[in-house]
Amino acid sequence: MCSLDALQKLTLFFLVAFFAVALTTGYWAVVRANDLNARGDNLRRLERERRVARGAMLARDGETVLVETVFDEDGLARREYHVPALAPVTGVWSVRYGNSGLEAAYDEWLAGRKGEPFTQLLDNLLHRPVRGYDLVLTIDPALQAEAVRLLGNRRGAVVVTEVQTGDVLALVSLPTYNPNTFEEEAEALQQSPANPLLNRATQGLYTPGSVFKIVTLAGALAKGKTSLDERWQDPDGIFFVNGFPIRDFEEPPQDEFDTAHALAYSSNVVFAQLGLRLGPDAMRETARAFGFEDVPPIAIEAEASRLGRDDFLLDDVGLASTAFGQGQVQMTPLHVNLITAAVAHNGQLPRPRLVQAIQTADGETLQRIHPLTWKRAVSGRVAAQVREAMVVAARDGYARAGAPACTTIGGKTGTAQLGGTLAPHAWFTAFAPADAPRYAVTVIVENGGLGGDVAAPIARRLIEMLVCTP
Amino acid sequence: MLIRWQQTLTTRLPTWRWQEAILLLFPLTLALAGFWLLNRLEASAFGPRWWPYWVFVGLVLIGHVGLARFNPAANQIIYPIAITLTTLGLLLIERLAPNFTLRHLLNFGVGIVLMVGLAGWPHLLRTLERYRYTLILPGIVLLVFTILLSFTPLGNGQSLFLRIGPIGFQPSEPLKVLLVIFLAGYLDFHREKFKHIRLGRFWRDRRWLWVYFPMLLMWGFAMLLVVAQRDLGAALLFFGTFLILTYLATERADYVLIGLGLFVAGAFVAMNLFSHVAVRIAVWRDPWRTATTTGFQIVQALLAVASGGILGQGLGQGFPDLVPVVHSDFIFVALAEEFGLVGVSAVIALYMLLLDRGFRIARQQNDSFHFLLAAGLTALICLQAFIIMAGSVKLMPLTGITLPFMSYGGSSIMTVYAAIGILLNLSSSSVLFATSAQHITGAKQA
Repeated sequence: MCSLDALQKLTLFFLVAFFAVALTTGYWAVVRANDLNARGDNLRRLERERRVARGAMLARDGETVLVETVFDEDGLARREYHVPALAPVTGVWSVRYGNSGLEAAYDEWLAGRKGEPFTQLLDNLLHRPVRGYDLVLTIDPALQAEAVRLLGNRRGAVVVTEVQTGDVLALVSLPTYNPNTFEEEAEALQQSPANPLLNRATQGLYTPGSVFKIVTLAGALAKGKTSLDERWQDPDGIFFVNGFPIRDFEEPPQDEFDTAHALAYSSNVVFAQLGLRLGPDAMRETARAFGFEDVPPIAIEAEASRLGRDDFLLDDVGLASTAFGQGQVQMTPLHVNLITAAVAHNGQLPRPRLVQAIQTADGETLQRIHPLTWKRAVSGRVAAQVREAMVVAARDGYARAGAPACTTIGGKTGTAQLGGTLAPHAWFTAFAPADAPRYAVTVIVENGGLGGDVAAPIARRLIEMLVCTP
Repeated sequence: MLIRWQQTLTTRLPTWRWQEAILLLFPLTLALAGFWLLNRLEASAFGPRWWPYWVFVGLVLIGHVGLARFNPAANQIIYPIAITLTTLGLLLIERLAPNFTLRHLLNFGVGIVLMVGLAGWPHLLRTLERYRYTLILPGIVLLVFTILLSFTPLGNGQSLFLRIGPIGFQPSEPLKVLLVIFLAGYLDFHREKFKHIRLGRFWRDRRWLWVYFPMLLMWGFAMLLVVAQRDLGAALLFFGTFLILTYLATERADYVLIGLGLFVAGAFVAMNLFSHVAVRIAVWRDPWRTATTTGFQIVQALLAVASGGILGQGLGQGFPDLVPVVHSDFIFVALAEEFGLVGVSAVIALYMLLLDRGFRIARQQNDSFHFLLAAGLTALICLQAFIIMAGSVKLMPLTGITLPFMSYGGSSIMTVYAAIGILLNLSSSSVLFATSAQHITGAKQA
């Protein structure tokens, strides 16, 4: 055994001690590095974030800049939102309050954290300034601006999509906030009774009213409970379920009509009977097939539409009122739009697409986001029948108000009664053109009044813009 | 023939310290590159400036020429090691606290003068030996100041800082060196006695009092520091140095174990009696829970280390200024962030190299007082480096002492260069001995 003298033992002690320091440093610098660097309270992360040239957001044409990053003289980044009304889509980049909308959903790309590993390593080593990637959105800024103008200072939402691809051309939620001044106004915005931070188009849950009849009709047709040419008698505009009266909102102009015209005249009497024929299970099954109780796969924050509690549907009155969109049914405007798109496009709900491509600052495409189907709601045959009924509604029924002169559409109005003294929500949803549908347009005006009077004209103008202007 | 040639080479005093001059090129090039980088990045708030670099080069050259003039035979490795560490420290201070650069350079200049003076004074060792007990008098004065400062609002209690007019002064810093000198003398005088005490016969053989009385005194002083200064660092450093010297003098592990036991027990009692000690320990055990209050400093330090990674962010490109007092006690963390694990390892290697050279010098001594002095000063510097580095990375409870050679802190850098001066003086006295010894062995071989 080799014996060490005191000095050698002391050297050994220091060797071990210094080695322990090096190992501990290595533990924090390598093993725990990712975990510590990602901590929310790590000021370094924020400092670095403020110096990154975050990627821009471009409009549908790939040229118009909607959002971009500018630097002030201290080298700190500031986001400029050129279309403030697009806030429900873009969200806001806020170091203090956290990101929202697409800024949050595509944060890794916009901040340049994602990408080729080798390039990233090289950038990191050489301290190259990070340039985030650009997003090419599906938004058409002109359409968006027109929808905002039409809605004016009323509360509500507008959703316009392309039925085949699910491209969201416009997504309006009013009132909204100005993302350019968000950080200064955040406190006031959070407390505002108008709730401007809520994205009404994707998160707002509204009673759909007659708009829901599309789902009931599709379910009844799919289950063989009715056909489009079945004749219905409705002389009084009233129907009793277990002694409870169900009334039409407006008495139909004829006493006898077929199922298609029942949709056109928005007959609660007929749809209550269709709901009772369907039964609670088939009703829920149909609703689920149409995407109820499931958050639509959109990049930004969204809510799932609800049909209602089980015990409510088991009651016949509940089931009947659900069938014409009252009761406990709650839908987001986006979901109403997707249902319209499904009817217009072979019964398939498209996956709503907000971003079509991610590209570098030089315009080189890095990743393309392909249009996909979300789910199949009904067969193409049933979808074609419902489509026909909606075209009838826009030709003969109340949905006429939404049809522009230059083209034919299929549409459905909705007037969601809220009880009490509140004015009803005004709904209108439509697809256009009727023979080869390309666009689905949905409008809701909160407490606006009659769907045909308030919401339909807005949709008409948007459809004119989409279809009739070359 | 070869042996003759070796003899002529070693017996002649070197005319110039060429080895040191060549080794010094490395830190000076490092400083040049560092200042170029900082000026290019415009990292400092004072804008691009070159004068600190030239002042630094001038001071380094003064030290080099001074050593060559007054003590050409001294060890040639130690000074470049110290300068390399100071270079890294200077770059980090210029980057983090450029308003302190001038003061740091002035302190460094005083340190250089002290080093050259102590290394070149031919009667230094004899004087120290003669006045080994008298030296404790200024030491006691400093000690009284240290303790008083901890309690009175005269100084800033936690930093043991005394301010007389424009001159700030930290009495605990020179006290460390005086303590090493005194203990080396005391232990050398009594070492034979200590070596043969048998603890089993403690009543008949009462010589153990000579060991335990000073140990209890030191322990009491250390405990006083723990309680008063709210910091284990300085206490641990004083007591650790004492234990190391005792161990080197007596080669008995039981003294060290008993001493450590006393320290741990004292710290434990202090933890239960005084809330601020308990807070320190709690922060050490789990800083994340109090990341915004008491644990803020250590959490920020660890985040800085994590941000550095293996290769570091690069000088001037990290955010070490987010860590409180980063230019002084936490300079190690700034090093970890900007130079990465690689830079940390290099600095640790430099301290190990210094330890190796210091202990070599100690081993060459033929006088046991000189042996204890050389080993004690080396151990003091390395122990201080270890305590603060370990505290910065949460290996030990956090302490508020400086990193030798690197941190900003006037008393600290002067003291540590003075210690280096004594070490260099010891190395040259031993070179004469070593050469004569080699002469004899060479003659034998021939």
